[in-house]
Amino acid sequence: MADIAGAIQHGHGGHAADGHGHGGHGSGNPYQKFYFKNMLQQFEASKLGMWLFLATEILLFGGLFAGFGIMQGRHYEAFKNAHHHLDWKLGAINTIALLVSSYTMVMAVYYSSKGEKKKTVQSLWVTFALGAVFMFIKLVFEYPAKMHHGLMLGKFFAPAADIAALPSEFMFFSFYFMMTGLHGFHVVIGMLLIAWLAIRAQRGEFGKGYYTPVDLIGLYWHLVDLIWIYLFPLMYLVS
Amino acid sequence: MASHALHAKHTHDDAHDHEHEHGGPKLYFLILATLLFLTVVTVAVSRINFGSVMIATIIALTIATVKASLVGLYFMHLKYDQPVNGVILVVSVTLVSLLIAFSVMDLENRDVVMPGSYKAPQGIITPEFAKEKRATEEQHGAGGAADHKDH
Repeated sequence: MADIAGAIQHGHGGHAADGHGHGGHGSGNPYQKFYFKNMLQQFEASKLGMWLFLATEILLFGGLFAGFGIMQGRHYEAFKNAHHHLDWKLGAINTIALLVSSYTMVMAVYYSSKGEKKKTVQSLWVTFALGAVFMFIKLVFEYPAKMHHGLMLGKFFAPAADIAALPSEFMFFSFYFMMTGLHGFHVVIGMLLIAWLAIRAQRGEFGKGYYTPVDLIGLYWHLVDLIWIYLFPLMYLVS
Repeated sequence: MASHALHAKHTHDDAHDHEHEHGGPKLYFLILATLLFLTVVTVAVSRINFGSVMIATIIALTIATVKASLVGLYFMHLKYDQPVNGVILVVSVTLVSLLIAFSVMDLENRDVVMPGSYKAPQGIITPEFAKEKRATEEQHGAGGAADHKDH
Protein backbone atom coordinates (compact mmCIF):
# COMPACT_ATOMS: atom_id res chain seq x y z
CA MET A 1 0.00 0.00 0.00
CA ALA A 2 2.56 2.50 1.12
CA ASP A 3 4.87 1.42 -1.69
CA ILE A 4 2.21 2.27 -4.18
CA ALA A 5 1.54 5.53 -2.41
CA GLY A 6 5.22 6.31 -2.78
CA ALA A 7 5.23 5.31 -6.42
CA ILE A 8 2.29 7.56 -7.11
CA GLN A 9 4.02 10.39 -5.39
CA HIS A 10 7.07 9.91 -7.55
CA GLY A 11 5.13 9.22 -10.71
CA HIS A 12 3.08 12.35 -10.42
CA GLY A 13 5.87 14.58 -9.34
CA GLY A 14 4.85 14.87 -5.71
CA HIS A 15 1.30 16.12 -5.96
CA ALA A 16 -1.81 14.01 -5.54
CA ALA A 17 -3.29 14.43 -8.98
CA ASP A 18 -6.92 13.44 -8.84
CA GLY A 19 -8.53 15.34 -11.68
CA HIS A 20 -5.76 15.89 -14.18
CA GLY A 21 -3.33 13.15 -13.33
CA HIS A 22 -2.95 11.78 -16.81
CA GLY A 23 -1.97 15.03 -18.40
CA GLY A 24 1.40 15.59 -16.87
CA HIS A 25 4.68 13.77 -16.93
CA GLY A 26 4.72 10.17 -15.75
CA SER A 27 1.10 9.84 -16.95
CA GLY A 28 0.21 7.11 -14.46
CA ASN A 29 0.83 3.41 -14.27
CA PRO A 30 -0.02 1.33 -17.37
CA TYR A 31 -1.86 -1.13 -15.11
CA GLN A 32 -4.21 1.54 -13.82
CA LYS A 33 -7.84 1.18 -14.91
CA PHE A 34 -9.52 4.40 -15.94
CA TYR A 35 -12.26 4.01 -13.32
CA PHE A 36 -9.83 4.35 -10.41
CA LYS A 37 -8.48 7.66 -9.20
CA ASN A 38 -5.01 6.28 -8.64
CA MET A 39 -3.06 3.08 -8.12
CA LEU A 40 -3.53 3.18 -4.37
CA GLN A 41 -7.30 3.24 -4.70
CA GLN A 42 -7.14 0.46 -7.27
CA PHE A 43 -4.93 -1.64 -5.01
CA GLU A 44 -7.16 -1.16 -1.97
CA ALA A 45 -10.29 -1.97 -3.99
CA SER A 46 -8.71 -5.17 -5.33
CA LYS A 47 -7.68 -6.19 -1.86
CA LEU A 48 -11.13 -5.54 -0.44
CA GLY A 49 -12.57 -7.79 -3.15
CA MET A 50 -10.06 -10.50 -2.28
CA TRP A 51 -10.97 -10.32 1.38
CA LEU A 52 -14.64 -10.72 0.53
CA PHE A 53 -13.75 -13.82 -1.46
CA LEU A 54 -11.72 -15.11 1.48
CA ALA A 55 -14.76 -14.60 3.72
CA THR A 56 -16.76 -16.95 1.47
CA GLU A 57 -13.90 -19.45 1.74
CA ILE A 58 -14.02 -19.26 5.53
CA LEU A 59 -17.77 -19.88 5.47
CA LEU A 60 -17.31 -22.79 3.06
CA PHE A 61 -14.82 -24.52 5.33
CA GLY A 62 -16.75 -23.33 8.39
CA GLY A 63 -19.70 -25.50 7.44
CA LEU A 64 -17.45 -28.55 7.30
CA PHE A 65 -15.84 -27.67 10.61
CA ALA A 66 -19.29 -27.35 12.18
CA GLY A 67 -20.28 -30.75 10.80
CA PHE A 68 -17.07 -32.23 12.10
CA GLY A 69 -17.70 -30.78 15.56
CA ILE A 70 -21.27 -32.09 15.67
CA MET A 71 -20.34 -35.57 14.54
CA GLN A 72 -17.39 -35.71 16.89
CA GLY A 73 -19.72 -34.91 19.76
CA ARG A 74 -22.15 -37.55 18.58
CA HIS A 75 -19.75 -40.36 17.71
CA TYR A 76 -17.08 -39.55 20.19
CA GLU A 77 -15.62 -43.05 20.61
CA ALA A 78 -15.52 -43.63 16.87
CA PHE A 79 -13.76 -40.32 16.21
CA LYS A 80 -11.29 -40.93 19.00
CA ASN A 81 -10.52 -44.38 17.67
CA ALA A 82 -10.42 -43.27 14.02
CA HIS A 83 -7.96 -40.43 14.48
CA HIS A 84 -5.34 -42.95 15.63
CA HIS A 85 -5.30 -44.24 12.05
CA LEU A 86 -3.91 -40.88 10.95
CA ASP A 87 -0.17 -40.40 11.02
CA TRP A 88 0.38 -37.22 13.02
CA LYS A 89 4.04 -37.13 11.97
CA LEU A 90 3.07 -36.75 8.34
CA GLY A 91 0.53 -34.13 9.39
CA ALA A 92 3.24 -32.27 11.33
CA ILE A 93 5.64 -32.34 8.36
CA ASN A 94 2.87 -30.96 6.20
CA THR A 95 2.15 -28.24 8.76
CA ILE A 96 5.80 -27.20 8.69
CA ALA A 97 5.83 -27.24 4.88
CA LEU A 98 2.79 -24.94 4.74
CA LEU A 99 4.05 -22.57 7.44
CA VAL A 100 7.41 -22.18 5.70
CA SER A 101 5.63 -21.71 2.38
CA SER A 102 3.61 -18.90 3.96
CA TYR A 103 6.88 -17.28 4.97
CA THR A 104 8.37 -17.60 1.47
CA MET A 105 5.11 -16.23 0.05
CA VAL A 106 5.19 -13.15 2.24
CA MET A 107 8.82 -12.70 1.24
CA ALA A 108 7.77 -12.86 -2.41
CA VAL A 109 5.24 -10.09 -1.74
CA TYR A 110 7.94 -8.10 0.03
CA TYR A 111 10.51 -8.51 -2.74
CA SER A 112 8.03 -7.78 -5.49
CA SER A 113 7.01 -4.57 -3.73
CA LYS A 114 10.70 -3.64 -3.68
CA GLY A 115 11.07 -4.45 -7.36
CA GLU A 116 13.60 -7.21 -6.70
CA LYS A 117 12.73 -9.45 -9.58
CA LYS A 118 15.16 -12.30 -9.06
CA LYS A 119 14.36 -12.78 -5.38
CA THR A 120 10.62 -12.54 -6.11
CA VAL A 121 10.84 -15.31 -8.68
CA GLN A 122 12.95 -17.47 -6.37
CA SER A 123 10.58 -17.02 -3.42
CA LEU A 124 7.61 -17.88 -5.58
CA TRP A 125 9.16 -21.09 -6.87
CA VAL A 126 10.17 -22.13 -3.36
CA THR A 127 6.57 -21.55 -2.28
CA PHE A 128 5.41 -23.65 -5.22
CA ALA A 129 7.85 -26.42 -4.29
CA LEU A 130 6.64 -26.48 -0.67
CA GLY A 131 3.06 -26.74 -1.89
CA ALA A 132 4.21 -29.66 -4.02
CA VAL A 133 5.82 -31.31 -0.97
CA PHE A 134 2.51 -30.95 0.86
CA MET A 135 0.52 -32.53 -1.95
CA PHE A 136 3.14 -35.25 -2.46
CA ILE A 137 2.86 -36.35 1.18
CA LYS A 138 -0.93 -36.27 0.99
CA LEU A 139 -1.29 -38.15 -2.27
CA VAL A 140 1.61 -40.59 -1.99
CA PHE A 141 1.84 -41.38 1.72
CA GLU A 142 -1.44 -40.46 3.40
CA TYR A 143 -4.39 -41.18 1.13
CA PRO A 144 -3.12 -44.50 -0.31
CA ALA A 145 -2.41 -45.80 3.21
CA LYS A 146 -6.01 -45.10 4.23
CA MET A 147 -7.41 -46.59 1.04
CA HIS A 148 -5.22 -49.65 1.41
CA HIS A 149 -6.82 -50.36 4.77
CA GLY A 150 -10.30 -49.63 3.46
CA LEU A 151 -10.58 -46.52 5.62
CA MET A 152 -12.64 -44.63 3.07
CA LEU A 153 -15.42 -42.14 3.11
CA GLY A 154 -19.12 -42.92 3.38
CA LYS A 155 -20.34 -46.16 1.90
CA PHE A 156 -16.83 -47.07 0.70
CA PHE A 157 -15.75 -47.55 4.28
CA ALA A 158 -14.69 -51.21 4.56
CA PRO A 159 -11.77 -51.64 6.96
CA ALA A 160 -9.36 -54.51 6.47
CA ALA A 161 -9.66 -57.44 8.87
CA ASP A 162 -6.64 -56.43 10.93
CA ILE A 163 -7.86 -52.89 11.54
CA ALA A 164 -9.62 -52.20 14.79
CA ALA A 165 -12.47 -50.04 13.62
CA LEU A 166 -15.86 -48.98 14.90
CA PRO A 167 -18.67 -48.80 12.35
CA SER A 168 -19.31 -45.10 12.88
CA GLU A 169 -15.73 -44.35 11.93
CA PHE A 170 -16.95 -44.00 8.37
CA MET A 171 -18.21 -40.62 9.56
CA PHE A 172 -14.73 -39.53 10.59
CA PHE A 173 -13.23 -40.60 7.31
CA SER A 174 -15.96 -38.87 5.36
CA PHE A 175 -14.99 -35.63 7.04
CA TYR A 176 -11.30 -36.43 6.77
CA PHE A 177 -11.43 -36.93 3.02
CA MET A 178 -13.87 -34.09 2.34
CA MET A 179 -12.00 -31.53 4.44
CA THR A 180 -8.42 -32.44 3.57
CA GLY A 181 -9.53 -33.07 -0.01
CA LEU A 182 -11.15 -29.65 -0.35
CA HIS A 183 -8.12 -28.13 1.33
CA GLY A 184 -5.75 -30.04 -0.98
CA PHE A 185 -7.77 -28.80 -3.94
CA HIS A 186 -7.16 -25.25 -2.71
CA VAL A 187 -3.45 -25.98 -2.39
CA VAL A 188 -3.33 -27.19 -6.01
CA ILE A 189 -5.18 -24.09 -7.23
CA GLY A 190 -2.79 -21.95 -5.19
CA MET A 191 0.22 -23.71 -6.71
CA LEU A 192 -1.06 -23.05 -10.22
CA LEU A 193 -1.63 -19.39 -9.38
CA ILE A 194 1.84 -19.10 -7.84
CA ALA A 195 3.43 -20.68 -10.93
CA TRP A 196 1.55 -18.12 -13.03
CA LEU A 197 2.85 -15.35 -10.76
CA ALA A 198 6.41 -16.65 -11.03
CA ILE A 199 6.22 -16.57 -14.83
CA ARG A 200 4.82 -13.05 -14.79
CA ALA A 201 7.43 -11.94 -12.29
CA GLN A 202 10.14 -13.45 -14.50
CA ARG A 203 8.87 -11.24 -17.30
CA GLY A 204 9.37 -8.26 -15.01
CA GLU A 205 5.70 -7.36 -14.80
CA PHE A 206 5.77 -6.52 -11.09
CA GLY A 207 7.51 -3.71 -9.33
CA LYS A 208 7.11 -0.94 -6.80
CA GLY A 209 4.14 0.55 -8.59
CA TYR A 210 2.25 -2.66 -9.24
CA TYR A 211 2.37 -5.98 -7.43
CA THR A 212 -1.33 -6.45 -6.69
CA PRO A 213 -1.55 -10.05 -8.04
CA VAL A 214 1.35 -11.17 -5.84
CA ASP A 215 -0.25 -9.57 -2.80
CA LEU A 216 -3.73 -11.00 -3.43
CA ILE A 217 -2.61 -14.53 -4.25
CA GLY A 218 -0.41 -14.24 -1.18
CA LEU A 219 -3.54 -13.57 0.88
CA TYR A 220 -5.21 -16.63 -0.64
CA TRP A 221 -2.17 -18.78 0.12
CA HIS A 222 -2.08 -17.60 3.73
CA LEU A 223 -5.76 -18.45 4.13
CA VAL A 224 -5.08 -21.98 2.89
CA ASP A 225 -2.36 -22.11 5.53
CA LEU A 226 -4.78 -20.77 8.17
CA ILE A 227 -7.30 -23.50 7.46
CA TRP A 228 -4.60 -26.15 7.81
CA ILE A 229 -3.56 -24.60 11.14
CA TYR A 230 -7.02 -25.57 12.43
CA LEU A 231 -7.35 -28.84 10.54
CA PHE A 232 -4.10 -30.31 11.81
CA PRO A 233 -4.76 -30.32 15.57
CA LEU A 234 -8.47 -31.13 15.22
CA MET A 235 -7.99 -34.09 12.88
CA TYR A 236 -4.60 -35.48 13.80
CA LEU A 237 -4.00 -34.61 17.42
CA VAL A 238 -6.98 -34.07 19.69
CA SER A 239 -8.41 -37.18 21.28
CA MET B 1 -7.96 8.08 6.62
CA ALA B 2 -5.27 5.70 7.80
CA SER B 3 -3.96 5.47 4.28
CA HIS B 4 -3.71 9.23 4.06
CA ALA B 5 -1.62 9.29 7.19
CA LEU B 6 0.68 6.65 5.71
CA HIS B 7 0.66 8.49 2.44
CA ALA B 8 1.85 11.68 4.02
CA LYS B 9 4.41 9.87 6.09
CA HIS B 10 5.94 8.12 3.15
CA THR B 11 6.32 11.12 0.91
CA HIS B 12 9.61 11.79 2.56
CA ASP B 13 10.30 8.12 2.79
CA ASP B 14 13.48 6.49 3.70
CA ALA B 15 14.02 2.77 3.69
CA HIS B 16 14.33 2.50 7.43
CA ASP B 17 11.09 4.24 8.14
CA HIS B 18 9.40 1.98 5.68
CA GLU B 19 10.85 -1.17 7.15
CA HIS B 20 9.59 -0.13 10.52
CA GLU B 21 6.05 0.28 9.23
CA HIS B 22 5.72 -2.93 7.29
CA GLY B 23 7.69 -5.55 9.10
CA GLY B 24 10.17 -6.83 6.57
CA PRO B 25 12.26 -10.01 6.39
CA LYS B 26 13.45 -9.99 9.99
CA LEU B 27 10.00 -9.70 11.48
CA TYR B 28 8.59 -12.26 9.04
CA PHE B 29 11.29 -14.72 10.02
CA LEU B 30 10.57 -14.14 13.69
CA ILE B 31 6.88 -14.84 13.03
CA LEU B 32 7.78 -18.03 11.17
CA ALA B 33 9.96 -19.18 14.07
CA THR B 34 7.10 -18.48 16.51
CA LEU B 35 4.65 -20.40 14.31
CA LEU B 36 6.97 -23.41 14.13
CA PHE B 37 7.50 -23.27 17.89
CA LEU B 38 3.73 -23.19 18.48
CA THR B 39 3.36 -26.20 16.18
CA VAL B 40 5.77 -28.12 18.43
CA VAL B 41 3.77 -26.92 21.44
CA THR B 42 0.50 -28.14 19.88
CA VAL B 43 1.96 -31.59 19.28
CA ALA B 44 3.53 -31.73 22.75
CA VAL B 45 0.32 -30.64 24.46
CA SER B 46 -1.68 -33.26 22.56
CA ARG B 47 0.44 -35.97 24.24
CA ILE B 48 -0.83 -34.85 27.64
CA ASN B 49 -4.02 -36.37 28.92
CA PHE B 50 -6.22 -33.61 30.28
CA GLY B 51 -8.96 -36.06 31.16
CA SER B 52 -11.48 -34.29 28.99
CA VAL B 53 -11.63 -34.01 25.24
CA MET B 54 -13.35 -30.65 25.68
CA ILE B 55 -10.36 -29.16 27.50
CA ALA B 56 -7.91 -30.69 25.01
CA THR B 57 -9.94 -29.24 22.13
CA ILE B 58 -10.13 -25.81 23.72
CA ILE B 59 -6.36 -25.77 24.30
CA ALA B 60 -5.67 -26.90 20.73
CA LEU B 61 -8.07 -24.29 19.35
CA THR B 62 -6.50 -21.56 21.48
CA ILE B 63 -3.01 -22.32 20.18
CA ALA B 64 -4.37 -22.55 16.62
CA THR B 65 -6.05 -19.17 17.05
CA VAL B 66 -2.82 -17.58 18.27
CA LYS B 67 -1.07 -18.99 15.21
CA ALA B 68 -3.89 -17.81 12.94
CA SER B 69 -3.70 -14.32 14.45
CA LEU B 70 0.04 -14.13 13.78
CA VAL B 71 -0.49 -15.19 10.18
CA GLY B 72 -3.35 -12.73 9.77
CA LEU B 73 -1.69 -9.75 11.43
CA TYR B 74 1.77 -10.05 9.89
CA PHE B 75 1.76 -12.34 6.85
CA MET B 76 -1.58 -11.01 5.65
CA HIS B 77 -0.57 -7.46 6.64
CA LEU B 78 -3.76 -6.83 8.61
CA LYS B 79 -1.82 -4.95 11.26
CA TYR B 80 -0.87 -2.26 8.76
CA ASP B 81 -3.90 -2.54 6.53
CA GLN B 82 -7.19 -0.74 6.11
CA PRO B 83 -9.31 -1.83 9.10
CA VAL B 84 -12.16 -2.95 6.84
CA ASN B 85 -10.20 -6.01 5.66
CA GLY B 86 -9.73 -7.18 9.22
CA VAL B 87 -13.41 -6.54 9.93
CA ILE B 88 -14.36 -8.90 7.08
CA LEU B 89 -12.15 -11.63 8.52
CA VAL B 90 -13.35 -11.20 12.10
CA VAL B 91 -17.02 -11.11 11.09
CA SER B 92 -16.78 -14.30 9.02
CA VAL B 93 -14.85 -16.16 11.72
CA THR B 94 -17.37 -14.98 14.33
CA LEU B 95 -20.27 -16.26 12.25
CA VAL B 96 -18.61 -19.65 11.87
CA SER B 97 -17.97 -19.76 15.63
CA LEU B 98 -21.63 -19.00 16.28
CA LEU B 99 -22.68 -21.81 13.95
CA ILE B 100 -20.40 -24.29 15.68
CA ALA B 101 -21.17 -23.12 19.23
CA PHE B 102 -24.95 -23.31 18.87
CA SER B 103 -24.79 -26.63 17.01
CA VAL B 104 -22.67 -28.20 19.72
CA MET B 105 -24.87 -26.78 22.48
CA ASP B 106 -27.86 -28.39 20.80
CA LEU B 107 -26.27 -31.83 20.47
CA GLU B 108 -27.71 -33.27 23.67
CA ASN B 109 -31.27 -32.51 22.66
CA ARG B 110 -31.38 -34.44 19.42
CA ASP B 111 -31.67 -38.07 18.38
CA VAL B 112 -29.36 -39.71 15.93
CA VAL B 113 -30.88 -39.40 12.47
CA MET B 114 -29.71 -41.62 9.66
CA PRO B 115 -30.92 -41.64 6.06
CA GLY B 116 -33.51 -44.37 5.40
CA SER B 117 -31.32 -45.87 2.72
CA TYR B 118 -28.36 -46.16 5.07
CA LYS B 119 -26.85 -49.62 5.36
CA ALA B 120 -24.36 -50.22 8.12
CA PRO B 121 -20.96 -51.46 6.99
CA GLN B 122 -20.82 -55.20 7.57
CA GLY B 123 -18.30 -57.49 9.19
CA ILE B 124 -15.84 -54.93 10.47
CA ILE B 125 -16.08 -55.48 14.17
CA THR B 126 -12.85 -56.63 15.75
CA PRO B 127 -12.69 -58.61 19.00
CA GLU B 128 -11.87 -55.45 20.92
CA PHE B 129 -15.25 -54.04 20.14
CA ALA B 130 -17.27 -57.21 19.93
CA LYS B 131 -18.43 -56.80 23.48
CA GLU B 132 -19.64 -53.27 22.91
CA LYS B 133 -21.34 -54.39 19.73
CA ARG B 134 -23.22 -57.14 21.53
CA ALA B 135 -24.36 -54.66 24.13
CA THR B 136 -25.60 -52.31 21.44
CA GLU B 137 -27.38 -55.06 19.57
CA GLU B 138 -29.25 -56.06 22.67
CA GLN B 139 -30.56 -52.54 22.91
CA HIS B 140 -31.38 -51.80 19.30
CA GLY B 141 -31.59 -55.10 17.44
CA ALA B 142 -29.06 -56.37 14.92
CA GLY B 143 -29.99 -54.02 12.10
CA GLY B 144 -29.37 -50.74 13.82
CA ALA B 145 -26.11 -51.74 15.44
CA ALA B 146 -23.89 -49.41 13.51
CA ASP B 147 -25.55 -46.08 13.94
CA HIS B 148 -26.01 -46.35 17.67
CA LYS B 149 -22.60 -47.71 18.39
CA ASP B 150 -21.20 -44.89 20.42
CA HIS B 151 -24.36 -43.31 21.47
